[in-house]
Amino acid sequence: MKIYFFALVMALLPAGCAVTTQQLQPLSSELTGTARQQEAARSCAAVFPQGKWQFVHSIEFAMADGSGSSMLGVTVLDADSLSCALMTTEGFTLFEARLTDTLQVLRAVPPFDKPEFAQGLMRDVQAIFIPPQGHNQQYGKLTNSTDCCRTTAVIGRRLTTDVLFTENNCWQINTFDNQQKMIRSITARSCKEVGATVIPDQLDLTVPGPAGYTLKMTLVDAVPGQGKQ
Amino acid sequence: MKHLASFLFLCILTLFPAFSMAEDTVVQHDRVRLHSVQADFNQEKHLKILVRPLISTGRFVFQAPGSLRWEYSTPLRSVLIMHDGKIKKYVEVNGELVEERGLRLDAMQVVLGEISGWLEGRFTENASFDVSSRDERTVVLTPKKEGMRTFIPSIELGLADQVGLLDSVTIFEGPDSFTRLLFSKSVLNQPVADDLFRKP
Repeated sequence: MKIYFFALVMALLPAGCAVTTQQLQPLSSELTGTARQQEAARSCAAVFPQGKWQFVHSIEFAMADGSGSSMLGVTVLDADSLSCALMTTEGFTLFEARLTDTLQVLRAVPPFDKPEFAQGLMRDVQAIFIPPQGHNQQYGKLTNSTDCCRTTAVIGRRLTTDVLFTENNCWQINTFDNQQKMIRSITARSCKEVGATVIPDQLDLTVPGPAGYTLKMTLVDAVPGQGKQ
Repeated sequence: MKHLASFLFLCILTLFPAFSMAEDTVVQHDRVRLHSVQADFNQEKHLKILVRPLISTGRFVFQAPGSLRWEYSTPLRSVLIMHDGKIKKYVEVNGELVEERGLRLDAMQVVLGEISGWLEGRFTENASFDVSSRDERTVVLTPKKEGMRTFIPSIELGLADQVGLLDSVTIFEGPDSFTRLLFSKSVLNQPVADDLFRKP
């Protein structure tokens, strides 16, 4: 039987303890001991899909000015690449791209043809589906006892990513800049375990700020991939 | 957003699977006086990146001279309604159909005018597409404007045995990307409830 390190702690946590502060919090206590750290690392890894997958989400997006719309988002993961597409609900492809070592935009219909859009979208998709890159890993608790896996990386600038565990085996991913200010928050809801992966039915992605936006992603389909058919 | 709205609604309306072909079109087809068409559709979406195609299902209802209900039931419920010169789109959110705001209606009005022309048999007078035939059962539409050809190189219409209906529509978006609609349970000129075009 697979026992997750955080499962017991999560059961003891009160509902709604997910952290959505705008500022990076210090870890109040850090896990020590290789075994406990490895168990924590496994729990954190389960947040991100393992192996090949094809996900389809309906996406509601809302801009800071209140405007918004709905579309379909497709994400395809394999060992070497991360691909994604945005489509209208009628199936017209607005944007299609593949990220390997480099970003290849396969199709971009105006107004989705700006390089900044492609880069921003792929950053968001990576944040949801790919474990944060970084050499400095810490495992511990925030001040309110929420379990946290913290990854710090310097990729042009210093970025800190917290993976937090919330009630019902779900999670939240918060990213902070070098000013320790939150630049992205992803909250998973209605999670279910599929093999070694925890797949949420609902994902809310928020980028705060005047030019910020919110994406509400509802899972439509999740297919473990066995290669292109 | 104007380009996006134009592409979207040209796509939707070009999918429209029933029209009578004029005698001056490249594919000779007897005229049929069209009052209404109803059909189910199965939509396959193929993209280079996909492990397997996305499948959608739905139903459409058309009533002359220009009322259309284009409804997806799976995987995501949405309804597009064109009626009395107005176009509305609804998408299911939390179990309820919610109207989408901010669509550019000007582009939609233009396309509605075009589909009306097709239904009246003025197919080759279409301002947006050149018309040719690959064989006697396949009509190929090619966008006249280069800007549109970039995103939709061509559309193929598979003619059905029954005059005025189509078996399939394939919209090509690129070498490895296309959307294919297969129609079934098509019904021609049967009464249509008016409220289908008034509410989702």
